[in-house]
Amino acid sequence: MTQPSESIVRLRTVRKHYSQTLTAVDDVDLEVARGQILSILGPSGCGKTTLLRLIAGFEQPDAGSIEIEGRLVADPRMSVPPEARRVGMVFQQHALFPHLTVADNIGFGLPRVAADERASRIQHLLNLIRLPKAHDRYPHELSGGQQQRVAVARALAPEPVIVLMDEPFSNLDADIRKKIRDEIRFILRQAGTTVVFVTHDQEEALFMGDQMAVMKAGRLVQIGQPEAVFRAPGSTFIAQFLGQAEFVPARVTQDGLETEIGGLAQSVDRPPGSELLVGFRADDLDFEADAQGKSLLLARFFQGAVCQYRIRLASGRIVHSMQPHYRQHAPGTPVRVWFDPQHPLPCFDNGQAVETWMLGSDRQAQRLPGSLSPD
Amino acid sequence: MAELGPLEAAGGLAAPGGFRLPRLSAQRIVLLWLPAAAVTAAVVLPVVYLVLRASEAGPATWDLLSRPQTARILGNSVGLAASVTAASWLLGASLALLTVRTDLPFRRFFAIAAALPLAVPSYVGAYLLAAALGPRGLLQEALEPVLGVTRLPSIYGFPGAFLALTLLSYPYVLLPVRAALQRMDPALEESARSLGHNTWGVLRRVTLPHLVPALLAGGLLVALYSLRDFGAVSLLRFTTFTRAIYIQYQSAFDRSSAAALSLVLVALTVVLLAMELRARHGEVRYASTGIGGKTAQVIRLGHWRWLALAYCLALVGVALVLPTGVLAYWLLRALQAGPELPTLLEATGHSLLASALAALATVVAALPIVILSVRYPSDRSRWLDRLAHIGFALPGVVVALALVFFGLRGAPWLYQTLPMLVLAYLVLFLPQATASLRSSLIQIPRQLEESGRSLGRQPLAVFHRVTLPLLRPGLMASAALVFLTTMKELQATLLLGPLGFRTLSTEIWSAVSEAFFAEAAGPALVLILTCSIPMAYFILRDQP
Repeated sequence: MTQPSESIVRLRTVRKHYSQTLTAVDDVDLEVARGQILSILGPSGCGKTTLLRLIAGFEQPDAGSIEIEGRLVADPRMSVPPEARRVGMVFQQHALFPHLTVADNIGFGLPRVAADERASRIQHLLNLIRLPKAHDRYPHELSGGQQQRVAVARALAPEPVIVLMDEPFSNLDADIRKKIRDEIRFILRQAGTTVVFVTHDQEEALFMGDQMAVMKAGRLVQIGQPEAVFRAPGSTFIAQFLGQAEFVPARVTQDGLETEIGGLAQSVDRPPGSELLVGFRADDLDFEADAQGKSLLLARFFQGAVCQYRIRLASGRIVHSMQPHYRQHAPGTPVRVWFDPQHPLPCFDNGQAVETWMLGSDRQAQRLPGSLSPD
Repeated sequence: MAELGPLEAAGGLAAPGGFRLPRLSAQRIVLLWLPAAAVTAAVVLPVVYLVLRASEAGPATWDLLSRPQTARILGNSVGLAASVTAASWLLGASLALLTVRTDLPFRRFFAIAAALPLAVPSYVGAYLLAAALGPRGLLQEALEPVLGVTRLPSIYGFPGAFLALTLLSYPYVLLPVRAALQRMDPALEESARSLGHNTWGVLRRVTLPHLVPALLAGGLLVALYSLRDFGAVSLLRFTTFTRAIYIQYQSAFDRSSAAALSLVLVALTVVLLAMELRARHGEVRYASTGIGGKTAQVIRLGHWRWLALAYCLALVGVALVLPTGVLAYWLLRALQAGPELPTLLEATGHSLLASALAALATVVAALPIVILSVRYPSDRSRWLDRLAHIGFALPGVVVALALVFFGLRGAPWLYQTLPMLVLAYLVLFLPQATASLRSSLIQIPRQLEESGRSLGRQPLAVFHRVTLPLLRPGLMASAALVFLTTMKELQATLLLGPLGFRTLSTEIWSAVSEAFFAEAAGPALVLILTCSIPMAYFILRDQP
């Protein structure tokens, strides 16, 4: 999908360290296109917040450069202060000014705008966030979700070229988080804003982003459409981080891949006889009760619509299989297990993804858009 | 910030050893670093001067320090501090236990009343004690017609100083022990009960060990208070370091030996402060693990509660009612004699003026230091902050003396002027102001300021529109604290006040040193009224 479009923010080999041993951001190259929502996903401590603070101007890079709308804003020698970057920021704790009303919060970034225009801008934003009458209320009188919407409106008010969001939903209760993020995504889409959004919650990253970047130990390890990254993770780390991935060793043969769970009709960019790891999720695995089966059903975890089964393979390896709730099996049953993927399963060599495609199909047609080509 | 990992949080921790010097904006240098450095220099210079002065004397200093008299002063100081601390432990811990954990009648009242002596300056307490129990005090006057007593055994010396300081400083033990008791997880005691211990066993084996950090912290505060005290020991004529330094300076005009004695005193207080820091580190081990809100079981005292009541009544009687009664009595006598209202008004005016100036100067001086150390943490800003705390380690008489030296030699045009006095207050009370401002600034999330910046506002505009309005209560509280402390200050005022600059504290001092008890009553009342009400507010506000 990534057609050459106008990039709003461009980072070139940006590096930031806090001490000799503590490198928060390490040689990051990144481009964000106009109107795009980019979510950056990474475990806590991976440097994603530092990346946002570098773009916003609260930190200065030790190496590399940052451009906003084609203008150089930071390199190791210079740094345009945050107030001159036209970058909106939404924090985890919303950071609304507690001593100002909602209207004054939203109008904070509009000091030189004429009063009537200011008022109409504030009204427009209040309508956008569906709090049209909230002008005179104070932040403490609002619910967490309302505060979050006001924080977004405040960031949008000065018409920034980009809005940065630092774990904006992690402070909200789990039960309203999904609703709020749905709303916020709608608001941002309506405003046509370019957004960089940081989270450690993979579901949130998959949901929010047009593009998703995965970060690990200061480096961007994969960028692409969320679907592509999800289906073809670039490394075992990413596969694990994106969902409960399981791995099983595989050997490359003429007919595909051979594993202890069974064969896979997949071609791999490695010569026959090579050893690989195949990654899969519980929904890729099927089984049936079979008195001759060499695997054993250990436990059953009922999760409502689906049911997960824990299975011990003949080798002793523990795997999981997801089944619809109406299929019932009792723990202790011997079973036969096989792969039932509807797509090529990702393969890894030394932790890194290896290109793979369905046997007999066109290699290029199988290639997922935006996915990182393996090294 | 709960979700931040070590890398992200490192933004607020700064590089150990300073990996790369952070770039400074010109604005930050002019508005923050220069004023902070100037304040720190003003605070540190006199002390450096004192050290130089003491070392100048060379061998003579050593002769002086090795005199048997110095050993006696040292013995007096340490002995007084130790005995006052021991007595405060007994009084403070017993009162805390009684008011938090037992069915003592009126325990809420006793909890508040027992903390109130904290608001009384030591020289006022000493004055009231001397006026009541002195050889020719109130007690003697009451006894003379009945028993024909013309003179009571002297309260001056160790007994008076011990009694006065204990009654004034035991709240330093009472308050932290009370807080520790209230914070303690009731489940600890309940587990001990269910494991088969009775009330006394639980008290001995669970509760008291739990109170050790609070007892240590409070006890060290009491010891510091006793070591630093000048007013009570001087009025009650017990020669500790502070009094010796003052006498040395006043009578002999032997400034090097006063400086040398000051250094010994400073060494003592620094040792105590170091112990206090270590004690505070130990508190972590005792951190409460339970949930608040649950209250521990009340110990039923049975018939013992009447004894406990008598004990509390006696203590509150001696520590509060007696002094108040004495004050009222001498006040009446002063009124009969025709009060010297103009003098009183003048002294009150001077006190208010000096305290207001001190509060303003100290808070303004503290602000850049606090902003730097909270918002721009680095080795440099931490050092500024630490140096600004030097007044905390120095007894008032030492700071005053250092400034006298400095004023005489370095800045004669400042000596015995109001600005010099205000500078002394600043050195002494800057730690108070920075501590209270810091806790306010820390509560203002940094993200508020960053939001302001990313909304396109300049740093100064953000400070003015966001930080300052939110910091205002903290600024007011910190100014009020410095104001109150300055009102009570005696040593620096005595040594550095401009000629003829009489304040409430110097009025009380000069009247009582001549045993004109009636003359001290007016200023003492005004002082107690201006101090104790807000002080009581501060004490109670900090109580959970």
